[in-house]
Amino acid sequence: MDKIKPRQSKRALETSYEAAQILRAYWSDIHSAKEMGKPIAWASGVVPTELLYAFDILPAYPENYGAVCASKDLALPLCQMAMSKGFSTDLCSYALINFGDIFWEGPGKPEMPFGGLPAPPDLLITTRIPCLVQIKWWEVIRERYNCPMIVLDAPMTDGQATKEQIDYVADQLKQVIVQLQDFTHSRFNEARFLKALTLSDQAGACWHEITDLRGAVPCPVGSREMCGNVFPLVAQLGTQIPVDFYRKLRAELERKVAAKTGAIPVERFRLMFDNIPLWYNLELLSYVEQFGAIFVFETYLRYVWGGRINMSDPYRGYAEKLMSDVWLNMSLEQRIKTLIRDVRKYKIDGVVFHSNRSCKRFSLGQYELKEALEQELGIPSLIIEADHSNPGGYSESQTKLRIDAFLELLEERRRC
Amino acid sequence: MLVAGVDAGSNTVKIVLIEGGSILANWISKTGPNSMKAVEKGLETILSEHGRALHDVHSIVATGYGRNYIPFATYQATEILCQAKAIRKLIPEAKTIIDIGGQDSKVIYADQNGRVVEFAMNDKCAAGTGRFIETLANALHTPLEDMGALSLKAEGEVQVSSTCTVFAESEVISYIAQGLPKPDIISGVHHAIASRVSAMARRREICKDVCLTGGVAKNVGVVWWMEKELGLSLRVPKEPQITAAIGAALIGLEKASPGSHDVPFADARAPEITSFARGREKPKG
Ligand code: SF4
Repeated sequence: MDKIKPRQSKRALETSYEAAQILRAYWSDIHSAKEMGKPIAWASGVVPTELLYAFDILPAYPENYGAVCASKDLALPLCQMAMSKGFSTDLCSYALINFGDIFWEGPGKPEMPFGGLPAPPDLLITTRIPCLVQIKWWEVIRERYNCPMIVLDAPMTDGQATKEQIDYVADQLKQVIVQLQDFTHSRFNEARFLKALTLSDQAGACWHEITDLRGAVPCPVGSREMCGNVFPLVAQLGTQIPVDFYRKLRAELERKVAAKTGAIPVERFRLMFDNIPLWYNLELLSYVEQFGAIFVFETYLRYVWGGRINMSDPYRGYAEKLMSDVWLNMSLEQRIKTLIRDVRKYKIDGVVFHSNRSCKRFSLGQYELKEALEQELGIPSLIIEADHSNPGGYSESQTKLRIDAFLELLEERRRC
Repeated sequence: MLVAGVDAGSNTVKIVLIEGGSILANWISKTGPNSMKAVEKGLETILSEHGRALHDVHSIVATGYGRNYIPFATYQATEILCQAKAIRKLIPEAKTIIDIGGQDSKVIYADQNGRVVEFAMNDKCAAGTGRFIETLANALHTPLEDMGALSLKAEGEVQVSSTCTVFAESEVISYIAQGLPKPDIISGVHHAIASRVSAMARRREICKDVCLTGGVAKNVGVVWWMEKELGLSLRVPKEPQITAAIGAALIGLEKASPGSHDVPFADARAPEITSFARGREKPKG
């Protein structure tokens, strides 16, 4: 593995600087809550965070924390510790990082960022919407800490959920509410939940508008910066924080777009990034910018986080939101349709697919997507092989060679 | 105008000087631990041999894995683009280029105009690269340069089935222990690399004229098996190891005359290695 990284220096958007403060405040709040004896749930991505907030339970996210560890170059020792405990190297590196953390034995444990995940968790909540790994992973955590676990089951959709699927998940939600009542020994406060859903919908709507604003030519903000802005959407949906943050971000973007201020001086190529970014090397996303290329759209940022809720029928609306518009929960056909639509909509010149060793659910079908792009739109694409958090198998020079060659290819197409 | 193309590869450094639209000189040497030093030394040598100095060179274009570590290079370009540029001139009909180097192998697919439309690379492991042959040549106590000719003497076929170079090495050692003839084993080694690279090439439609470049293209045994695997006759440039450096120099010429994608290059139809020279008439297996 080659050594990487200059850290990100100047942001295109002033508001982006606030993301770091939000992150710090979240971590300090969650640790004080733990100290005060408030319940903490370890939650997987795409769980009903809004419900947790409605019950005054604070969620901590081992996946997101895995990304944080990776960005601080801690993934390798943690993954290695997990493997030494018998976990397979083929397991998702988010899980490996978490296992390395919670099963660490002996000296040499790295200093965990933000004081570590608040342990032990009081509750576990997960779903199989993104993948089955999460269920098995959470079962291991349950064994480790012997705490209650709630699973929200949801089927894979064909892009949009059917009436029966929505009914099923709405029913699941009601069961989760019953379990949360049992856990907290308190009555469900529906008004509070509906308020949380409204806030979540507002933040989700704002996020979609932000994605669309980035579709402007020139693009006002690149991918790397936006990856740092996604946290409130991951962890704080249902609270006021993401609503305020994204509204401010949107306003700043609107000003940039109106003034036609691009993130890079001359925008020659507009790129799309597919899959989870390389958290240990986000620099790769801005690397292309020195060559006049910019990532303006990411399947990960648009189709994993956020989303609208039909508030006229909140339970079913929420059930639908949880399942739909989630890349990981889309069939291949739906992914192809979505990709082609977005490449057109955001005026994309080329797509970079990250074939992610950890996340098979995200990576499967990328060769078909590549082919469809070429056949239907004549748009070239590139597949790079890496992992979202484990830098063990990643080679910087080989990846950059591919990216350089891809940019040359785009340049040559433009010239002739 | 004198331009230099420098291919700072992982194993060898290749330098090509182009002047007046044809190759003035070329130079190949081991990269060693410091590619920048190797290039510096190579450039000095080749220039002084021709009575020139660095300041006579209009531009130096660097390619290869070390392309970003040559501080005196005027431009950088990837081997993929450079190969395409060179082959467009050397063998214009060839729209598929297979390059087998010391550390990786690549397949480059070009369109009618010779522009790269797609590429595939094997760089995750040594199988399918020159390193594979090098390791097994060591195991066989055979000089690398003799491997090709020796394999043509094969009477039978030995299968080297391990994809992993380390396992393939123990497989080969066990064949030696069994007393199997060396040429048969070497032929098996070549077959193994050829089938891996061909499989990568066939992921996409390949054209009728396929060009093979890179140091491994000098190995007639690999060429023979590649042809058999792909079911066609390969086009191998006269000096297949320097094509990326030629392409790099051609990019230097293009940059010197903006707007021109068709710089004059007189060596364009330099003779290729013929089937006869490759010993293709000798059936094996
Ligand atoms: S495999 Fe993919 S969806 Fe599952 S936990 Fe890992 S990153 Fe998330």
